[in-house]
Amino acid sequence: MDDAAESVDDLRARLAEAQETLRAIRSGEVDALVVATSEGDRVFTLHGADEPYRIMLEQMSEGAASLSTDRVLLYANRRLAQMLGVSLANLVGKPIERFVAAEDRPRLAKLFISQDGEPRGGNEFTFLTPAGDRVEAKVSVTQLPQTTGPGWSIVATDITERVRLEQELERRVRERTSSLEAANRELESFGYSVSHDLRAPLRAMDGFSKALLEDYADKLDEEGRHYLQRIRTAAVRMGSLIDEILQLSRLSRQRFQRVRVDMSALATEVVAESTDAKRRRGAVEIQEGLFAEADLKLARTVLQNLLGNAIKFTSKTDDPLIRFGAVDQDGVLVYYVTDNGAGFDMAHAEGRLFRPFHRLHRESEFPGDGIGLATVARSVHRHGGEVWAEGAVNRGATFYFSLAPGAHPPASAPTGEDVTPRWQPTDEEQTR
Amino acid sequence: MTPKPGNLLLVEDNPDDEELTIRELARAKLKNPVHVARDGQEAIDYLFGTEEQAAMPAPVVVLLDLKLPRLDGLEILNRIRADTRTHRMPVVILTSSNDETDLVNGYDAGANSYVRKPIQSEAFAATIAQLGLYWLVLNQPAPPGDEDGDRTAADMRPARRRTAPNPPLDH
Repeated sequence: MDDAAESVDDLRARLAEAQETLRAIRSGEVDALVVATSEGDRVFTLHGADEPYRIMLEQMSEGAASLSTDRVLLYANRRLAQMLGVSLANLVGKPIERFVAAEDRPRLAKLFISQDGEPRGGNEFTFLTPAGDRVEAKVSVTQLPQTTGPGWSIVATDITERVRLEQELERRVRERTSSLEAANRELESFGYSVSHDLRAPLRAMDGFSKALLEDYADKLDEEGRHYLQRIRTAAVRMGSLIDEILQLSRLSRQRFQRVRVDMSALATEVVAESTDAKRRRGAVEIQEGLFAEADLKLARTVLQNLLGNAIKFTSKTDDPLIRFGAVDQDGVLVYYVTDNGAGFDMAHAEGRLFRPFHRLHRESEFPGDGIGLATVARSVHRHGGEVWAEGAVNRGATFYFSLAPGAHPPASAPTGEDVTPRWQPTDEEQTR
Repeated sequence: MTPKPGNLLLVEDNPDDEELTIRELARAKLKNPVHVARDGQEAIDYLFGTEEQAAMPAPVVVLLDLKLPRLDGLEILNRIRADTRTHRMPVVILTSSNDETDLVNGYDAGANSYVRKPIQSEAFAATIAQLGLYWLVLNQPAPPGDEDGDRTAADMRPARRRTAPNPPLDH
């Protein structure tokens, strides 16, 4: 009986102790509990449980705060106060809207409604500091669970610098685009008047020279007729130059569409169609089975010019030989057109081979207007490809080109890089 | 008795081109009277008359330059196609330009043909002779237009009209 009474007393004492502990916990008098367990005493912290999180919050480079259900700031870290340019004391107790730019307030309100997935209207907002500075921030909102008391927590990341850079970049792109568009329009209207206004006087020169030859043939001696013929030839040549310039300027504007192109078949076709075909005496060897993903029209233009050149510049060569083929350069197919014709001096070619109107041969030796390789360079560049050349006087020339990005011309070779149209060649340049 | 050859209206502002064209028409032995309108308004006045002057006899063909002072060629063509008196009149655009926009706009406005003036004079001579021969001799023009006739609305609509006019290039 004594034992039982003792047990009851002991239980009563433990119950009283437990009740007192609970009361102390409720009233906040207890910081931690030390509980004896089989592995020794364990400390259960009550009051300081959120202290490490508080420290983390203060260390964050983001602004963080908790808000009441009506979005009044209850707690904020120092970083948020710093971002918004106010003291912590002036932050807590104010509705968050007060710090948001007026135009962004309706959007911000939506953040606190839709909690599923990405908020509509985006999560980037402009805050206004009392000093009038605009602070751009990315805001994420989380609804707090009932157990902590209803409300919201927000995290705000300062993206002012990023937004400023983006705006600056956009502004620059707009500026560039509009100046490019203006330049393009100017070029187009220039091309238009070139075709219209420059052709008419040429037609008059040739037309009236012909009229003189026809109607006054008996009054002109051979020298007189020869001079008239020279005028006519010059007028017609200038006409074809104008057409070539126009074609060159249209190259960069026409529609570009990649399709699978049988380059071997195209080369064969181009050689057969070549107006110089009659002049061609030697062999043209074309490697079989070469394909490209290219714009058909531009690919044809490239081959027409390169094979046409090869045919032209071998017209005075014994046993002329022209070859079209391709080599693999680190996974990029590099096509080449090579010949054993007149070639060119690499020293003269640097920086001018692919420029419009720059010629390395005299008109009397090999006729041409210096547009062909400029056309090739533009066509190749529209594919993101490269074009370069190797040559030696009287030992032929080789032109390499790719129709996809990634090819590397050797440092020593003249390339089609930075081909800028120069409309006025000097006399010195034209005779080369 | 052969009927009197019909007029040719040459709308051309460049005196060199005018002279060369007339010369080549003559060399091709075409006897049709050539009337020259040296700007767009002159062409309109010739075709439709003015307050002081009635319209001239309808030409059997109009050779029309595109770039003209006052009214440009395309506007003239639109006026020709919009008017019952002239809407079936053969109009050949004869221009220096081979600009795609001009070609498209020309055909959309209802040009019967579009010919680029060559620079090379033999080619120019051949072009003019062939144009003259085809449009003045071979081609059968539609019977003269009749303002008071019982034409239906469909007749009055030009064959093809531009739906959205392209803005003209600055020049």
